[in-house]
Amino acid sequence: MIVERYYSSLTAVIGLILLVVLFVYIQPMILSPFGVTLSANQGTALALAALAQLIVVLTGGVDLSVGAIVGLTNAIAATYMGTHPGIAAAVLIGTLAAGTLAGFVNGLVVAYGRIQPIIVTLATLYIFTGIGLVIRPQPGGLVPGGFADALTRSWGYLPHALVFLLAVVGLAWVPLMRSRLGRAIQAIGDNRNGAHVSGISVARTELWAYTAGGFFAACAGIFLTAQTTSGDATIGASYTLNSVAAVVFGGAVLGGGRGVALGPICGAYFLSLLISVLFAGGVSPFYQNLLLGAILVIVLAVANSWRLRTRHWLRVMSN
Amino acid sequence: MVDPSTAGAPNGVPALEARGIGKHFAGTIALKDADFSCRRGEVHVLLGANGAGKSTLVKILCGVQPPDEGTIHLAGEPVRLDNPIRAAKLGVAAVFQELSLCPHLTVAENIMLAHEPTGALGQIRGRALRRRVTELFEQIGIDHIKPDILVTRLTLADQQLVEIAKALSHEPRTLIVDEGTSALGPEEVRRLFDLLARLRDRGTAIIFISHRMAEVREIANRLTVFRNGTDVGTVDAADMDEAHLVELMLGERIEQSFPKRAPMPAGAEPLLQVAHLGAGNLLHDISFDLYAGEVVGVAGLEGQGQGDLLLALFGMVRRLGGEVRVHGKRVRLGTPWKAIRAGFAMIPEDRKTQGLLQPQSLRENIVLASLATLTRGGLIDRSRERATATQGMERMQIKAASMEMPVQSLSGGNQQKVVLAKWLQCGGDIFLFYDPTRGVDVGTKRVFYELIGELARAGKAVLLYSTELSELVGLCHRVLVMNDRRIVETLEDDPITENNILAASLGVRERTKTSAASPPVSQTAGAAS
Amino acid sequence: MNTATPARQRTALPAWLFQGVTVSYILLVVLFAIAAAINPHYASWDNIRNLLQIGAFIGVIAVGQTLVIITGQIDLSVPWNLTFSAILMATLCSHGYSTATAVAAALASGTLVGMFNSIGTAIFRIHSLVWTLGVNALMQGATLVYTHAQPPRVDVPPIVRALGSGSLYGIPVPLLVWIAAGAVALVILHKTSFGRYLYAIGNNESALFLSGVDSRKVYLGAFATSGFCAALAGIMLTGYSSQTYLGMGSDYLLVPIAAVIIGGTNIMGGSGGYLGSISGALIVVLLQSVLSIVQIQEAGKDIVFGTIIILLLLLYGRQKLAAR
Repeated sequence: MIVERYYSSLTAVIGLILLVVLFVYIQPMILSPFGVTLSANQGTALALAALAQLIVVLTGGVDLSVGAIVGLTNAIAATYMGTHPGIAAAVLIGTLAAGTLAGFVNGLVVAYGRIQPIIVTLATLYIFTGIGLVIRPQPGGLVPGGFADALTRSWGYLPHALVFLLAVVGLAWVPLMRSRLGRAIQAIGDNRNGAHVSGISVARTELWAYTAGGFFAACAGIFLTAQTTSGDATIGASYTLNSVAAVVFGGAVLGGGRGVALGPICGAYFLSLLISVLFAGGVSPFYQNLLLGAILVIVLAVANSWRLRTRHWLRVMSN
Repeated sequence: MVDPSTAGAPNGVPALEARGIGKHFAGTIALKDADFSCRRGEVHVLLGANGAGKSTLVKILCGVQPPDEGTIHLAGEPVRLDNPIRAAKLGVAAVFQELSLCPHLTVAENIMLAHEPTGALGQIRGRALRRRVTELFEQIGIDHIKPDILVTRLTLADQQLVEIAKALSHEPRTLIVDEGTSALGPEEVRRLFDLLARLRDRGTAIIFISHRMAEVREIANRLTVFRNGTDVGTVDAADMDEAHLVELMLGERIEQSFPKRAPMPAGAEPLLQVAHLGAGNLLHDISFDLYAGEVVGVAGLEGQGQGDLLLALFGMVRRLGGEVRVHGKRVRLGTPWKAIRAGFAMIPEDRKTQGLLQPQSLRENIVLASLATLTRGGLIDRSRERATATQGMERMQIKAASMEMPVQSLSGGNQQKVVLAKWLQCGGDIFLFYDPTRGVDVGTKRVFYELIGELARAGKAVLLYSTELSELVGLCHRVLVMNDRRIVETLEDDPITENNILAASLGVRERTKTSAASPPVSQTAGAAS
Repeated sequence: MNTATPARQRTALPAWLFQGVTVSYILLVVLFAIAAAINPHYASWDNIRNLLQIGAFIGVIAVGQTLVIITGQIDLSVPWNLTFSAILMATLCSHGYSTATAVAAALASGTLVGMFNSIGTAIFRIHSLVWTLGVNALMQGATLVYTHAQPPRVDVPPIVRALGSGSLYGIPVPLLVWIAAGAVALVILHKTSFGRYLYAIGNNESALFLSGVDSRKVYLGAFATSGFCAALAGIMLTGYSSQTYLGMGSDYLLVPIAAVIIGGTNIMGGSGGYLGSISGALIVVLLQSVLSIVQIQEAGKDIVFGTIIILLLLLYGRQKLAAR
C-alpha cells in the first residue's frame, strides 16, 4: 500500500469526521443504532455511484450517465422483483447485468467510436432514462420486504448498508484495482501515450472501465431500491452531479490517473449527511438545494484553484 | 560501406532485420523502403537529422505502430510486431525518447506495467513484483531509487533510469535506446554505457539513437545513417569519418550561408531594458539590454530557461519580478495583449499548437493578431482584411493557391511563414523568435534569415532563441548564454563561435583549447523525428 | 503521435455533400417529404406555422448554444436558468413592476448566470459540462428558494403573451423573434471579430491567446449570450403557455444541443455555424411531432434523440486517434 496515494482523501475524511461531530452536537440522538443506520442508508447509494464515477474518472473521462443507470436499474429491480424470493434473486442478477450492459454500451462508443466521453454519456443519460421510463412510466413497483430489510436494517450499531458497501468494495472494487485491468485503468488516465507504448490496449481498458462503472451504478440502483422500496426511473438524476462532486471532493483528479476509493466514499457520505445536518440545524428545506448546489460549485472551484496560482499561461490553458 | 546483413556476424543471422519498411501519416511519408539490421552483441547507432525517420522506425520495431509495408525478422524468423508487449515477449524492448512512465504509479508499478506477475485469480502479486524490481535494480546497479516511490517524485534523470530499467525488465535480446541520455548527467551516462557494454558482451543487440557525437564515438560498433525516411549508408565504427557522416545526414552539402549581418547603428538607444527579471523557479535575475537594429541570440542546453525568457517577455508568464522598460518607459507585462501593446511580437515554438489555427484559412490566420484594428463598430472590414492578408503573403513570399486555403494544407515552411506574416502585419518593435527554423526546409530558413536581417536594418530589435548554433553564430550581434534559468555569459561580436557558445553553455572556462568535443551537429534533442 | 491526423476517407462524391450543413438540410427535406407523404395534413400552412412556432423556442436557445459549442464548450445550465428567469419575470409582474422592467430583469438574470458559467470554464478551467451542470443545480436551488416550490400564479402581461403565441400579419411572433435572433447570430459569427475569435478558440485557444486576444472575454461573451438566450426563451415560453411552472425548462437541455449537432457544428468546437442549427432545430421539431403522431411517449423521444446524437457523433465527431 502506497500511503502517499491516500493523502488526497484527507480532505474528505476530515470533512466527514467534522460533519459527524457537528451532527452529534446538534442532534445527539443520531448516536443511537437507529440514527446511525438512517445516516448510513442515506449515503450508501451515492457512495456506490461515486465508485462508478471514480473508475471512469481514473481513465480520464467522466460518466454523466451514472445517475441514469442508477435510475434504470432501480426501475428494473422494483418492477420485476415481485415477491417470490427465487424470482427476486434472478431479477437482482438481471439488474446487475442490465447496469453492466449499459456501462458496456458507454464504453463501446467512447473507446471504439472515439467520441468525447462526456458527450457520449450525456446522450446515453437520455437513452437510459428513456428506457427506464418505458419500463416504469410512473414511480411505484413492488419490493419484497425481506430484501429491503436485508439491505437497510442493522445489527446493533452496524448498519447492513455499510456491510453491503464493504462487500461491494471488497469483492468487486479491490480485486478489480488489484488486477492488471485496474493497473491499466490508472495508467491510461495517468499517461495515455505512455500506457499505449507500454503495451496496454487503451481502447479495451476504457471499454472495461465504463463497463465496471455500469456495474457499480447498478449496485447503487439496487441499494436505492431497497432504501426507497419503490422504483423511479428519474430518481438518479441528482446522482450524476453529486457523484462527480463526491469524486472531486474525495481527491480524485478530473483528467485521470489519481484517486482512491476512500476519498470519494467519504465524500459521498459527507454530501448526503450534509442535508440531514442542515435539516437538523433548522435550515429551511427550500434552502437545501441551493446550499448543496453552492457546495458543489465551490468544491469544483477549489479543486481547480491551482490554475489561479500557475504562472505559465500555456499551462493554465492546457487540460 | 559494409553489407549490413552478414559481414562478421557470429552465426551470420542478424538478431533483428527490417526490410523495405514503409510508413506514412496522412500524406507525409515517414519511412520509405528502409532497411536496417542489427547483430547480436553490437551497439548499432542510428543517426539522422530531425524528421529522418529514426523515431518512426523505433516505434515500428518495438510494436507501437505497425508498418504499412515491409518485413521484420528476428533471428531469421519473420515476425509480426503488432503490440509492444508482443514485441517484448519476442525479445525487443525500447527506451522511449518521450518518457512512457505514468507519474502517479510507483517505480515498481511502472517497470512491470502490463506484464505484472499475477496469481491464479488474476490479482497482481505485489510482493513478487517488488522482488523482481529489486533484483533488476541490483543487476543493473541502481541502488538509490526506492521501488515504492511515485515516479512524479523522481528527478528527470532518475525517471530516465527507471525508463531504462523498464525496458530491461523484459530481458530483451534486442534493446532500443531512443535518446536515452538526454536527461542524464555525465556520471549517469557513464553508468549507462557500462551497463550497455555489459549487455552487449552478453550478446544483446543494442540499437542506440543519440545526437551527441561524443557519445556515438564512444559506444558505437556500427552506424547507420537515415535521411528522408530511408537508410543511406552503414559504416563500421572503426571506419567512422565524422565529416562524412554529417554529409550523409544532410544529403547534398548545402552551404547554409547567412546574409551579411547589419552593422550595429552607432550610439543607438536601448530599445528594451530588462533588469532583474525573475519568475518563481522559471527565471532568475535576468538582466540585459537590447538595442534598436540589434539581433541578440539566446543559447544554452535544452531546457535552461531560454524558452521561458521569451515567453515571459511576451506576457505568457504571470507575476514577474524585476523591471522591463521599452523605449525607456516602464511596461507592465503579464498577458500577451499587454506585451503586444508594449511593442513585442512573438513567433512561438510550435506552429501547430501555439501558432496557427490549422483548419482555418491563410487570411484568417494572418489577420488574427491585427483584427482589432480592422473592425469598425465590431464588424470586420472585409476589404481591409483582404488587403492585410495579401500584403502579409507578399512580404513573406507565401506560396499558396489562394488566401482561402486552410493553413494545414501548406508545407511546414510555408506555415511558419504565415505565423511570421501575422506579426509583420501587426507591427511591433521587438521580435521574439522561438526556434523559428525547427523543422522547416532550407529555402524557408533562408527567407527567415533575410527577414531577421531586414528587421534589424529597419531599426527593430530581435531576440532569437535557436537550437541551431550555426544560426546564432551567423545572425547575432551578441549571444546571451543561459544555464539553470539565468544568464551566465554574454558573448560579444567577435568571439561568437559554435565552440564558444557550447563551452559557455556547459560552463567550460578555457576557450582557446581546440577540443574535439564540439559536435558538428547542434543539440536538437527533444524533437520527435 | 498526437499530431498524426487520420487519413480522411476519400470517396468519389464531392466533399460539400458531406458537410454537416448540407446533410442537415437534405435530411430536413427528406424528413418533411416522408411526413407529408404519410399524412398530407403535414404540408398544410397551419401545421408548418405550428412547427415554426415551436421551433422558435429551440432555435432561440440554439443561438447561444451554437456560440458556446463553437468554442468547444457546452452550456448545460439552460433548463433552470430559463425557469428562474421566467419565474423572476412573472413574479415581478405580479408585484406590480412594469412589464419592461420585469423582462429586463429576467434577461439580466439570465445573462449574469451565463457570465457565472464562464468564470468556472475560463478562469478555473473546469470542464464546462461539469461546471454548467453544477450551475444548473445551483439555479434549481435558487428557484426553489425564490418560489418556495410554488410557482407564482400570475396573469401573464399581454406583451409577453404576444411574444409566445401572438402573430403579426399571420406570422407567429416567436418566429419573428427567432428570425431576428438568428440574423444577429449569423452576423456575430461571420461578420464580427468576436465571431472570428469564437472559431479560433474552438480550433486552438493557445494560438488565439498568443495573438493577443483575451480568450477569457470571448468565453464570457459566448456564455453570456447563451444565458441571455435561455432567459429570452423562458419569457417566450411563459407567453406561450400563459404560465410559469417548475418543470418548464426540462425539455430544453438536450434538444437544442441535438439541434446544433444535427446542424453540423462540431461538438469539439472550431467549425459549424448557425445556418445549420436552424435546420437542426426544424429537424428536431419535425421528429418530435412525427414521434408524437406515431404515439411514442416522451421517454421514447429521449431514447430517439440520444441515439441520433450518438449516431451523428459517430459520423462527424470522431476524434483523431491518440489525440485524447
